[in-house]
Amino acid sequence: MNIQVVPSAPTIVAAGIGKRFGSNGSEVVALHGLDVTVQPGEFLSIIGGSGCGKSTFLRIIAGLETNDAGSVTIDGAPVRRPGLDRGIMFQDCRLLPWFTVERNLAFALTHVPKDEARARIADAIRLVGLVGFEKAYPHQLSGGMAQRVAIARVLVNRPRVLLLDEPFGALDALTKIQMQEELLRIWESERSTVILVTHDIDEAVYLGDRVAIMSNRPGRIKRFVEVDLPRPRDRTGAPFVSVRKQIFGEFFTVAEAQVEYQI
Amino acid sequence: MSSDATTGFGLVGTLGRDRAEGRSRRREAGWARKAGRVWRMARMGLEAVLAAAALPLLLLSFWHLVAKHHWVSNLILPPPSDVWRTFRDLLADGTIAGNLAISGTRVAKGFAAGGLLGLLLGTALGLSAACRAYLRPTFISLTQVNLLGWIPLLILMFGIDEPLKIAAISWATFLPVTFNTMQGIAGIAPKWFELARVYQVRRRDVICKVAVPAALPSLFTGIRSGLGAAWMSLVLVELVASSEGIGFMVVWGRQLFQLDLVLVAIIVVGAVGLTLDGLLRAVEWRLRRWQGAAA
Amino acid sequence: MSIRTVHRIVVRGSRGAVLPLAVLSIWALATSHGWANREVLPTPVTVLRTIGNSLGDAWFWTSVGHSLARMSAGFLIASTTGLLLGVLLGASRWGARLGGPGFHAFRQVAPFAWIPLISAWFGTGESTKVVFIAVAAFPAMVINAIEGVQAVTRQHRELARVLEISRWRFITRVVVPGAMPQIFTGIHLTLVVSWLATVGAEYFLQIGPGVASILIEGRALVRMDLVLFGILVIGLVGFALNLTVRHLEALVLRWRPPSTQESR
Repeated sequence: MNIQVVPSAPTIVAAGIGKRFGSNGSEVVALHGLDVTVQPGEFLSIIGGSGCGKSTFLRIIAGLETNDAGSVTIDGAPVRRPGLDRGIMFQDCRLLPWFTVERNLAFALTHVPKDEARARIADAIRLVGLVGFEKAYPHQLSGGMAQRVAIARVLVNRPRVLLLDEPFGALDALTKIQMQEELLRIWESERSTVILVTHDIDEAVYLGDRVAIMSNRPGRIKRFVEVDLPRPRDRTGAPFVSVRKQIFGEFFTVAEAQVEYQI
Repeated sequence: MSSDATTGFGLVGTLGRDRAEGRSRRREAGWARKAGRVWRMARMGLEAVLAAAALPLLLLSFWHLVAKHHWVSNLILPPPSDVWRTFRDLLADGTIAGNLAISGTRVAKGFAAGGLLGLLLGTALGLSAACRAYLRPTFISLTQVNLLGWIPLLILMFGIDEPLKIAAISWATFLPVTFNTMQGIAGIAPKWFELARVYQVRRRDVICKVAVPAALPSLFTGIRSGLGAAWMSLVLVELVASSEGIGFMVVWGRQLFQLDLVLVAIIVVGAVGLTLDGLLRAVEWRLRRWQGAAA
Repeated sequence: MSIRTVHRIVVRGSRGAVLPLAVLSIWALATSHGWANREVLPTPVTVLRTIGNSLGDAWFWTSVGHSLARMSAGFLIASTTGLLLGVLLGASRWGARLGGPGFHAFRQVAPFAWIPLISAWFGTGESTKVVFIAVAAFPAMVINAIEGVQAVTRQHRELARVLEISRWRFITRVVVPGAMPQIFTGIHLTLVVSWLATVGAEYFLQIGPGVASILIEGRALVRMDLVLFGILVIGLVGFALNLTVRHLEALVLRWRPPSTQESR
């Protein structure tokens, strides 16, 4: 029941990334001077408010956008266009509505011979726990199930790098927690390099080895916070809460509890 | 009226029907429930059919009365019996079938030609923004002129024989098909193409697996409009410039002032239109199974 | 308007004009070099002259007036009856069950097939044409009125109940504005069909002044220039009608968010 371990996960190095949108007149500087190095097999969470450019950064690594300044390399090789070595998961799960679950997965495997594709699809469906739903259409699936298909699709090509763009943003809070557990379970069996982009502090801390805090306009990494906690993590435990508090403090002023002294 | 009857459905079920069903549910096994449901569906179906037929039947009886008592001259409004007799006669001697066949082939040829050209041009326009920039304004202006304007022009170019009719029908089909195809293909959300890029999907597969299904609803609207336009232009062209076909039958009846003939022809036209529409709907429904509730 | 916008409009306009200009030049060349039969294809100059003459001719303008008058009469009948029937079919479930299938069947008959029958019943005068226009345009209004009324969803009705809005308020403040966009689409379509039916009726019945007489004459005398002129007139009137309705629509429906172009 395990997907074969991927070839060794790569190092991702982004140096001095800059990106502008718009043209002569009204320009928006989305990213400027963004530096980050992601270690092999590391799970990096990037957290930031809306519009800080975190999705743009992810899409640059995916090859869907090109950076205006700086460079992105994966194990030294520069990133220029999309490739099957990097799997990206979108917030709108983006399942083709006219294909069944099976054929949606097959869509990702057009470069693989039919027999092997079939085997991989079966494995992936088993992995995400959707056995029996192969012939279902996306509109018949719940939000959580659809995201699971999206996860399966991102994994069938065994990418060395996983890029997750607010994958659980559209789910309700309870399903979200379930999916986070699923994701961890799947990731721990193959340890690709993962970059997760989110605006949910809890999610960032629960999943990531490190949390990168992004600032707004221009987008760059303000600060890294190590989450040096063993998994599985206790969301309500003191160590977790303290890490969370650090990150929370970057965005909001923490109301200090009044301490009363009694003499 | 024990509480058990309503508990069976939770909060639902205050109608007498449901209460009765609740009793039978409690009473025994599934077959009573199923029988009840089948009976209910049959009743609903019957109700619908009766309701649909009510008005036409009323009109029919009124018509019969008017004709029988000569409130309007029988020449102006022939009695239903006459119409029915004429219909049977014409059916028997093959006039209807013959004319339908002629009209049918015309529509088929014109629709095929216009539809195909429309799909091709529409696809080209949809794919290339440059193409659109050059061709769209001309195209939109052409659509402003309704079919009737083109007919004299086409008559001057093609005469009044078969080519004219095919040309007119093709043109009438071509316009909506092109327009809807263009809209459909140009309107495909870029996110699908982005997805195809991510998975390095080959161009041929992009067209078959992404572009066509995404544009299919619009394509279908185009084909449906095209067929409607084809049929309508057929009738028009046959009314104006033909010596055989269903449209001609209407004119012929009018010229002989045999309104029963005219009515028969009109009914046939309507029936064919209904069938075509129904067929297309069925095909469309089948192809759009995946849209589910979001139709 | 910034220079950039002007530049964009000019570029877009000129691109659109390429094809017509090309056709025009080929046409002029073809006629001047005699590639095409002078009888069948007149020179552009001839057509322009015809246009010029007709515009100065009072007969032309009366014809246009007559056509527009007929169209307006038929349109008014079609839109009012269509609106009433549409609201009935859309709002009342029993209304829909009784009248729906009958209306659907009626719709299936290609409109032009009615002309001979109507002309037999009403003679060949004005009334035939007006009746035909009304009959042809009426389904468009009904369908859109039905959709408009049905657009007032259950959610709106629930909201009205929760806020204890009076029935009258509900109709005037919720139902009518809610159905307006679709009703306007209906008006638009009815107008378009009315114009089409007007030209059709005139062409078929061939009696009385009207725009179609240009076409009839052109065809009878085998004068392509007249036919082309007729087509131009029909197209321009149709275009003008379109524009008017669109502006009215924008004015009345200011609250509507811009529609997205995404197709499913």
